[in-house]
Amino acid sequence: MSRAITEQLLYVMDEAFEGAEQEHSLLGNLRLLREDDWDWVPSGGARSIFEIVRHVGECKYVYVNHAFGDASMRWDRPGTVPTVESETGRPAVIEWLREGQRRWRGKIADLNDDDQLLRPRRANWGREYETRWLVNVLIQHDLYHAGEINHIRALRHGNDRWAWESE
Amino acid sequence: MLDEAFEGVEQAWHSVLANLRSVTEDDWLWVPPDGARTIRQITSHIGGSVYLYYDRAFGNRAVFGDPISNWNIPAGNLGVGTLDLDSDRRLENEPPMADVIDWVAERARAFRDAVSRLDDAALMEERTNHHGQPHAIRWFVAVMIQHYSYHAGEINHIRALHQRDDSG
Repeated sequence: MSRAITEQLLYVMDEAFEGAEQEHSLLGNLRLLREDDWDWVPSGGARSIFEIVRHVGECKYVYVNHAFGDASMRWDRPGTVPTVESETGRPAVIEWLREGQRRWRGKIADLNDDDQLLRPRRANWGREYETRWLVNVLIQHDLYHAGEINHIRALRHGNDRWAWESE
Repeated sequence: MLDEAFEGVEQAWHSVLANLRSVTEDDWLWVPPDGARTIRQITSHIGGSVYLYYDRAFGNRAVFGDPISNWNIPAGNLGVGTLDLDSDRRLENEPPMADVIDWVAERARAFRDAVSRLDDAALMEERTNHHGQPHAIRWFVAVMIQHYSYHAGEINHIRALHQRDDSG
């Protein structure tokens, strides 16, 4: 039995969610926000940073519920998906996001053999995928939306240039 | 994971190339209101970064110099430098969008092929990054995975603002 691959995945997962030295992590980008950035929508846009954060967080809860649980969380069944509102307040939203991450990460950390990463598990749209595929989707998901969040924040703050151009 | 983040083999939604597929020539050099960076800049930055990381993790640090002596190294056969492509201006000899994307894909492939030749133990071998800091090779790989997905998100957001279909 080996857990070498699982440990590498956890390393990348942690870096994507809150890598302390990484400018690309989800929480790293949320730390740069001011209170009034949360609900702002750029010209030509439709989504606020809060809406993106809510989407990222809900996916964590739903993915773990379908892959490892009873698949009871569904967006078409109101009230089944743990969620937040923009009035919830940023600290509580971040804690809700962290709890979603803890649930998902905990299930992956509990896998006792790398072979488990190849075991098919359910996605919320009913199809089954290898566990490693689901892990990878949520890693990419954190980072992709961190990039979108950064772009909205940069437009809002008027500092969209590369950092090295401002030095 | 590198393949998924760059090309999107089984899951294309968040990959660099999948997001570039819906970018038009009009989107390529567009700057959003209050913004500064174009999709071309971000795409080129992905290519320049993976070139730099390859040079540090798997090369002899000669491409950019050690310490770095030149950021504006030739971008393949495009006839422009990496720093030129990373600027917000339209270049006099602006290369076609497709050619820039091909060059970035070529650099990503070189990095990916070097990673594929490693065994697990080699992932923990240390290399010095461009800031002079030592890191395990897996760090270089993790940063590139993050870099691809993060900037794919930025590319999508600029494209969505320009095409007015910002639905996620």
